[in-house]
Amino acid sequence: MSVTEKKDNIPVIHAADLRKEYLRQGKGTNIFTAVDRTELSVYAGELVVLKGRSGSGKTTLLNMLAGLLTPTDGKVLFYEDAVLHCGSDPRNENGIDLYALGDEERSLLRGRYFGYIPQGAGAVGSLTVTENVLIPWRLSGEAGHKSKDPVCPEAAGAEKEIMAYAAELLEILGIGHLSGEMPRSLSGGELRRLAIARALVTRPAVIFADEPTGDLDDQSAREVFSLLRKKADEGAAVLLVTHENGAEACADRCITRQHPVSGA
Amino acid sequence: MDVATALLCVILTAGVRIVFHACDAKEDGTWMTCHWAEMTVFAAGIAMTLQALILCLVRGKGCHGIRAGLCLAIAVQSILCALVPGAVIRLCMMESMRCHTVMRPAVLLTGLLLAVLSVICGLRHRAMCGRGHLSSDAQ
Amino acid sequence: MIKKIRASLPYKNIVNRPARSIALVVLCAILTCAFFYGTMMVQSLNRGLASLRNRMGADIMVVPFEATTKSDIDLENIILLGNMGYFYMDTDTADKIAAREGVSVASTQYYLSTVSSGCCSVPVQIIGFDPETDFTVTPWIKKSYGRDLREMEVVVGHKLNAFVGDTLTFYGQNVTVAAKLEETGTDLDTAVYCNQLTIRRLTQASIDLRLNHERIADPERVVSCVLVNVREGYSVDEVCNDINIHVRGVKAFRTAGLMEGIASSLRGAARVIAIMAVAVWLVCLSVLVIAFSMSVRERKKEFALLRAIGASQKKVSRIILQESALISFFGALPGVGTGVLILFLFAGLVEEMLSLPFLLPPVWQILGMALLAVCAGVMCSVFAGVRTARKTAGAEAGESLREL
Repeated sequence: MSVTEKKDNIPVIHAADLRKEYLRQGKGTNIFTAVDRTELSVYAGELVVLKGRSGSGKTTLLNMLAGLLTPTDGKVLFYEDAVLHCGSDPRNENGIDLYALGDEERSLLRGRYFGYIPQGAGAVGSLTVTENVLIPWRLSGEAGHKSKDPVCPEAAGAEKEIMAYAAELLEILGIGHLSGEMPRSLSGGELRRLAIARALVTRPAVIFADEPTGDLDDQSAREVFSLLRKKADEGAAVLLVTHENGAEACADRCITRQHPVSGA
Repeated sequence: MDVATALLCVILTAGVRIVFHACDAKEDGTWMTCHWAEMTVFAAGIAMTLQALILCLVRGKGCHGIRAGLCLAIAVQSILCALVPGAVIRLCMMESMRCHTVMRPAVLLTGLLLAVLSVICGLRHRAMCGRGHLSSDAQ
Repeated sequence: MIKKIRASLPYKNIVNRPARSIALVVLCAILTCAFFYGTMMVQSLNRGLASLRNRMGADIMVVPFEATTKSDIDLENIILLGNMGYFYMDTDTADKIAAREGVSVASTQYYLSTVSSGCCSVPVQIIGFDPETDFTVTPWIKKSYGRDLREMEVVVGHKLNAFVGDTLTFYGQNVTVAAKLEETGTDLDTAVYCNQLTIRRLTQASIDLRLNHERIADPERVVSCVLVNVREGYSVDEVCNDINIHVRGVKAFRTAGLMEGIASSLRGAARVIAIMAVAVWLVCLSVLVIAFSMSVRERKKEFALLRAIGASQKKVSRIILQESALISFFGALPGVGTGVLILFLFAGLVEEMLSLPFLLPPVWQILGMALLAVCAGVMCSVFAGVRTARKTAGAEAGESLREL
């Protein structure tokens, strides 16, 4: 099932006829379709909430749009010229097919333009909280220096400026006092906030958030939604997968996915 | 680390008499020169072991200076000990004899290991000594 | 460069997991040490044998028949010139041997063992040679000592703790050390060499002290063995058999035959050492592969996360391989260091235990092998990490995140 709304402007990211099948090994070979013929566009400055029952393919769809999971069929197109802080580039009128790129190019693109908040708290155990937050910048910062593409140089950022921004994000998320700590000493909720800060540190053009408020209390969850709303208002395209009811209040659009098998 | 130092001292002292001892006595019951090298290392080993025991027993925040000093003393003595067989006291004439093949390399190895460990230990205590001064200055 | 390494993720991964890192480092150290030490042992044994072959020189060695029947005399020890005690034959017998057909040069040697008591500095084997006919010892002595030995002058083997100018006492007689020979890796290193005049004086001195009076009647009339070089065109076997048949009271044998026996023992020992080294190496490598694999697998989520936030497959692979290279480098250095230390410190003990010719390679060769061992250790560990790196980095981030 799919919902597509066109706006006058070009979407930042567009899923065209997307399908994902899995092979289930059980009694005989079973093909399970997690996502079936979906079209979805997300525009700059828009916060889209993706809801649905468990197993309805929300995370699968999100991961395909984020360039992390190759679809069985269909395309994911990224429009660089729709990114707010970049000028238009006539090369990209037809969008960049993410899965037509090689792994290196796709990773480069993701590092520069995408921010990703995974489901489940995750951090690199050997790095401090601040170092963890700065990982995307280091990956994109290195990539930015190596790339000849002049588009979006702000993504690289000066080191001092980015460190100050990282500290600011940690303060906003209430874990500024833990900047020098190792992840093993953080609670689940604190790790989740770390993941959010990490996703936002490079001021990405597109933010993918998979259950970002899973370990958080209601007050903290509201704060996270406010932050994402603020990012959308600043021009980012935000795609948010969540079960929380409070998310709809800050969303521009709500899409409810149905379970591929039960239809509920 | 203090305990490791003490243990190594015991190994050197007991080892040189039991495990990696010098050549046996001659047929007429007299000892060769290497026996006296063994006894010298043994005596020095006893002294070092006592110092290492004091190192382990002395506790308290203000004692890091003493412990650093003890470590330094053990380090110097262990290097001298390592040099006793061969350099300070000449060993048997044939280098295929036990004093050359077993005692000398074993004492050299143990002595040098002990020296390295004592130096590291001493530096640690010295650093803790320095931190203690800083905190008392702050007060 | 150091600062960059210390700031890198692989370095931090190693430092922040001390128990795991130490275990892997120790494994790498054992692997490298086994490779280095095993190779050095085999090389040293081969060099010892080559050195012994060089020193022998003679085609045939002729000893009194009693030497072969005495239970305390080992014929192989005659070659290696260990403590073999006393055996003598008449000088007339030596002349008969020299007169046999096919004998090109026959040189006599005289053996005397000193004792471990007050009259002697050290219990050693003294070998007296005839400077006019000798062809085995003289060339070797000439390398270290340019002129002929004078009376009461001796040349000592490498493993005697005596130096040029020292005075040694044998049977109450003082002799001067004129030179010290190069190491051969055999028991020749613990022998003392002098000319016939010196050794006969020492023998007489021992008789005067009533130490050897039962063994030796007249030191001027006896020799211990005759070394023979065969004339060109004659078969060594034929000359050897001829001496055995026609000269009574002696036993002649081909030195090549005995050498073959020693070479065979040596090959056997070298083979055992090599097999053990390879076995240790294989076990360590297998454990390293499993350990690296497990270590990466337990951090699958981390690597999936890195992929999700912008790291390419190549980048993740590089992190894993850099980690394994760093660990193996930190392990290989102490491993090789330990091997070098044990090699130099305990070479004497190993030689005594093996009772085979054993000669350490020159220092530059040892250092070269040490470097090779470090490189081999690093390469093995990187190899151990490659398969895991490919599998981990190659997995789609979305799939990995889904599994966790």
